[in-house]
Formats: sequence, structure tokens, C-alpha cells
Amino acid sequence: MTASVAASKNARAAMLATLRKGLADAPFVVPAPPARPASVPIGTDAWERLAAVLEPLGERLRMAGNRAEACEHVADIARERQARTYTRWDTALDGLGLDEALSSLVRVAPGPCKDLGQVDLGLALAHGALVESGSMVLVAAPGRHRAASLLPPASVILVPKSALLPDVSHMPALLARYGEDGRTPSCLNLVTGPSSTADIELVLVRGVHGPGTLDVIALDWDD
Amino acid sequence: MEVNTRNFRPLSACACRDANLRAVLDHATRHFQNIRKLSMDVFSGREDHFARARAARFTALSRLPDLLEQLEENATAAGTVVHWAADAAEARAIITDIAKAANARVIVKGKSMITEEIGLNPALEAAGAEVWETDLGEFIVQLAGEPPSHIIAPALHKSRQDVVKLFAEKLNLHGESIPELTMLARQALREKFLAADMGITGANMAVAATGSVVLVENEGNIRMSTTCPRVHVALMSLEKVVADMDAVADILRVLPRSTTGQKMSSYVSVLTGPRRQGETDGAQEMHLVILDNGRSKILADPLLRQALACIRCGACLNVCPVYQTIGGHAYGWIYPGPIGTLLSSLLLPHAETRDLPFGCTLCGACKRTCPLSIDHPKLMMALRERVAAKRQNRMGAAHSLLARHPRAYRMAVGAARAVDPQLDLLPRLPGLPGLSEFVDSRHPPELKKPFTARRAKAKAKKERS
Repeated sequence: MTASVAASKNARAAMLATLRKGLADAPFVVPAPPARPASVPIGTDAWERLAAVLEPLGERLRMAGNRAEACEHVADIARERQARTYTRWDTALDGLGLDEALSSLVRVAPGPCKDLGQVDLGLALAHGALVESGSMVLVAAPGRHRAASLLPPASVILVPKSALLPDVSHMPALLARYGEDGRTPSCLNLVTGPSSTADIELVLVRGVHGPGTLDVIALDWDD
Repeated sequence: MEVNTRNFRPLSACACRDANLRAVLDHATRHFQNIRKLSMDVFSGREDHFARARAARFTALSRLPDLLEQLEENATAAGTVVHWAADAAEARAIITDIAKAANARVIVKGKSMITEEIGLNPALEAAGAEVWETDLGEFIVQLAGEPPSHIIAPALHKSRQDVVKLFAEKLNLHGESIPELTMLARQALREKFLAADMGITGANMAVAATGSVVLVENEGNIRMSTTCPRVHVALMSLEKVVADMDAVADILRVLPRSTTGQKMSSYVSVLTGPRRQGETDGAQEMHLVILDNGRSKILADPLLRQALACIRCGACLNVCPVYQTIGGHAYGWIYPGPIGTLLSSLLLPHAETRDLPFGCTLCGACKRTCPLSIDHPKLMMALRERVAAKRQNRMGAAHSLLARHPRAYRMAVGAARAVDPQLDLLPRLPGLPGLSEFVDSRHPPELKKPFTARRAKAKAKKERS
């Protein structure tokens, strides 16, 4: 046992004891909060509302009524972003025919970041799309690599109609749903717009460490 | 970071004379107030959301020891190694041990106040690691060898020209425009991310019910730091734990809006343990270090403990007339502004922070702005009382006694004025303990004719004209 492990054990006992004594000496009663304001339900205008929220983030919502249209959008985006290589989630996106649409590009298999550092385009599927904030919820798992929505300068997220959710208050249920054998998933990301910074003179620049562009494709059909 | 809070007075006096700094602060604090207001004005159900975020934080504080144990249990079950550190030295030792065990040569860091608090970078560098701050603002101040000056905009005090020079000198990278400079930083740091063995972040929240760590950011550097390196170490101060994901959701409704006016920050990561079987990225080894460093004892104070509820949105800095005037560095430690004054006073030795709580006009703008309604002015007064109790001043006590007896007060002042009309000579007399200190910050009114005499004079003048 190293010195720091021993110290850690002592620290744990001391910290918990001090906290318990503090609460015993000065009991802490917190009044119940008001109910959470009701969410705006997902209605027929949900895509329009999502598009309106995405627009100021520099994202255009592209509507696709079927698989072919979705593939067309993906091919358009690859052309616009001058992508030559792409990486994508496996199982989640397998049925869409994306590889045919991107046949002129080289597909890079999921792997360590080092292998994906130069890839131009990344595709992922949203498990949830929070209409209020324009946030895409991505849950990582085997075949759903985190780097796909992070390393490539151009990011594409496809949103099934069934993924539309009102707001972040629905995130806890989503996290619980995608856990396997009752385990919380290892990584859930909310992605809201491209990577951005305003650290030099408060001037907004898109695309600092993550993607500079984020395109969202609405898969507007019932699964 | 070196503690320099003892020099709060001279540092702030110096900052007040810096016209350039004032212009920068004026621009920045207005900008932040403006974007926040635009967002808050259209935030439906705002007060209820604030109340829920407040309840999420206060409930967590009221159950802190239990939640920390639950967090430890669930994080451990998810495969995270949990460590406890009583103070900064222990935390540094734990993290450098992890770095050594992992043979970490290149370390990337996400923006985190807490790693500044414990002075982590020099310790890691002494252990032979190359440490890179990866938040653009932190990267800039690291290159400049300066501490951050704002909780959410660390390089607020640097101009574009400063950054142009800095990149040229330190990195031999040449750019002019702000997007160019940003791209240069991206390229330089991308190499580091891909080469890094270890990523170190803070934690905006930790979730007791799931054992998760929640990280909120805009740049993507924190996602990079937790996705690419083999090892991820998250360092949290013990009060950051919340009960469950519902509490996280309630806080996420409020935090980005109050910070930058965003409905949601670009990236929120909820990380629960290292990568699982079959995953190709994410850290293979995850550590969570729970740090006390003087916080646990604050929970026994029924008033002051509310400072532990802070979610670090930084809104109180931007509305504070003192921060607007002196900026972040004058506070002498990493936590500036109203909340910084409270935290520094609570976490550092009393003797180091005597002057801090007096750097406040008690205007209450911070309290009105705080989404959690932390009562900064009231806490500030309590801290002043604490300071005053530590250095009893006989002259102060005598003045206080006289002030409660107006007739005696007038007689005493009259007697003093009889020998020293402007009351400027008596304080210089030796042998009156505490007098010079007492009058140091007080200026007696100049002698004037009584009101009735002045009124009669004014009346006469009016009649003449």
C-alpha cells in the first residue's frame, strides 16, 4: 500500500466525520421545491421548432422523408465539406445505406483516437433530440464510438422521429433506458451546436477542438 | 497557485489605476450581462427552474456525507477508482502517483478551477510529465505564465495582439485574426490530445445514484481529454455531488443560461466508469479524487455553508462593481468576485484573507443575479464580523458606545473639536492604542456652521437678489 492510499483512507474517515458532525450540530432542512414547469409536448411542429433552435447555432436541419433522401443529404454534406474519409457508428446506422451513398469516400473503422485524428466526416445517431435546447443525445457503446462526433471537423447527426423529446428533464429516463443489465452507460453526451470558443476578446469562433460544423438530418418517418 | 490574498488592498489599488484593464473589464462584463439577460428574458418558468436548481444543490448539501458514500459505492461498481484527499498536498500526491503508475509522459487538462486550487501542474511537471492546458483561455494564460482572471473566461485580460505575440514567441506559430489564432491552437493541441497518456478534468457535478461525473464545456477539449488518453482523472471538491440525474437535469436547465446565455453548453458529458468491453475509445482507467481542502468544516455553519451551493456560473462576477473595477487578479487567488471572496475567506487561513470581505459595497447585485439566491452580502457581513472579532479595537468599542448615547457623543466630539477643530491632529498623538487604525478608514465631517445659520444666510442672499 503506497503512502497516498493510506492517506486516502484516513482522509475519507475524517472528511465524512466532519461532515456528519457539522450536520448534527447545525441541522440542514431544505424546503420542497416547486414542481418542475411542464415540458412543451412534442407535437406536429416539433421539427420546425427544432430547426428554429438549431439555426442560431449555425446548424441547418435537413428533412428526409425516407432512407434515400437521408442518404442524399449525407452525400451532399460530404461534398460540401470536401470530405474524403469518414467514420460512422455501426449497428445504429447500418440499415440506412450510407456506405453506398459515400462510396467515393474511404471509411475508417472505429479505433483509438490516433487512427481517427485525420478523418474528415463523422456520422452518429441521436438517441434523443431535445427540442427546447437543440441538444442531440448520443449514448456510447460498442459500435457507437465517442470519437465519431468529436474528432472529424465535420459532424453529422441523424435524428429519428422517435428520438424527439421536449427538454433535458427527459435525459435521466434516456440514460436509464440505454443502460445494459441495469448499468448506466459509460458515456452520454449532449451535443448542442458545433464546438465553440470566445476566449480571445469574446469573439465567437466555431470549431475549436471538436467539429466546426454540425449538420442534423431529420429522419422523418415512423420506425 | 500562490496565495496573495494578503495583498488585496495594494493589488486592487494598483488595478484601479490601470485604465486598460478597466476598458477590458467594462467590455467583458457588459457583454456577459447582455447575453445572459437576452437568454433569461425568454426563459419560461425561470423562477421555478431557479428554485429547483437551488433545491437540487441544497438538498445535496443537507445529505452530503451519505451522498458521498453512495457516490463512492456506485462509481466503484462502474469501475472507477475513488480516492479521498483531505487537502491539496494529498490530492497532488494521489494524482502524481496515478500519473507515475500509468507512466504518463504527456498529460492534457480540461479547464478546472480545482486543479488550480491545489497547484497541480507544477507537481506533475516535477514528476517529469509534460502538462498541457487545453481550454483555449487556459492555454493562453499557461503560455503567458499567468493565473486565470475570470471563472469562465480565463484569458479575459489578454488582447488579440497579446495572443499574437505569445503564440509567436512561445510556439513559433504565426497568425493574426482571432479565427486564425484559434485554428493554430487547435492544431497544436490536437497533437497533444492524440499523444496524451492521461487526461485530467474537474467535475461540474458528480451523481451519487449512478456514480457518474458530469462535465460541461463548449470547446470539446474536455471530451477530447476524456475520450483519447488511456487514463482519465476527475478531481472534484466534495460539495459537487448531487443526488441523482434529475438533480443534474434541474441544474443543467440553469447553469449554461446563467453562464453564457446558452440554452445548453456545446457539450455535456455524463461519464460513468471507464470504457466497457467492446468500446474503442474512452479512458481505459478512470479515477475520481474527492477533495476536502477546508470545505467539510464549513457545513457546520448554518449561514456560511450556502457558499458551497455555488455552481460556478460566474454571473455574480459580471454584475459586481468591485470586480468590474479591479478584475480577477487583484483578489490574489483563483476565486475572484463575490463568490470568490466568500470561498477564499472560507478556504484559506483567516490571517490571509482579512481584507477580502471588505472589498464589497454590499449593493446586493450578486445576490439578485445568483440563480441559486446565495446571499453573498449577508455572508460578507458575517465574515466581516469574524474579522472584527479577531482584532478588537478599543477606539471602535468606545465609538460604538458613544454612538448609542447621542448626548454623550456630541459632548465628546465637542470636547475633541475644541482642542482639534478638524480632528486631524489627535490621531497622531502617541499613546492612544488603536486610534490611528480606527481613523484610517474614517473621515470626520468638516466643521460647518449650524444648519439654521446657513439657512438664514441663504435666505438673506435670496432676498438681496
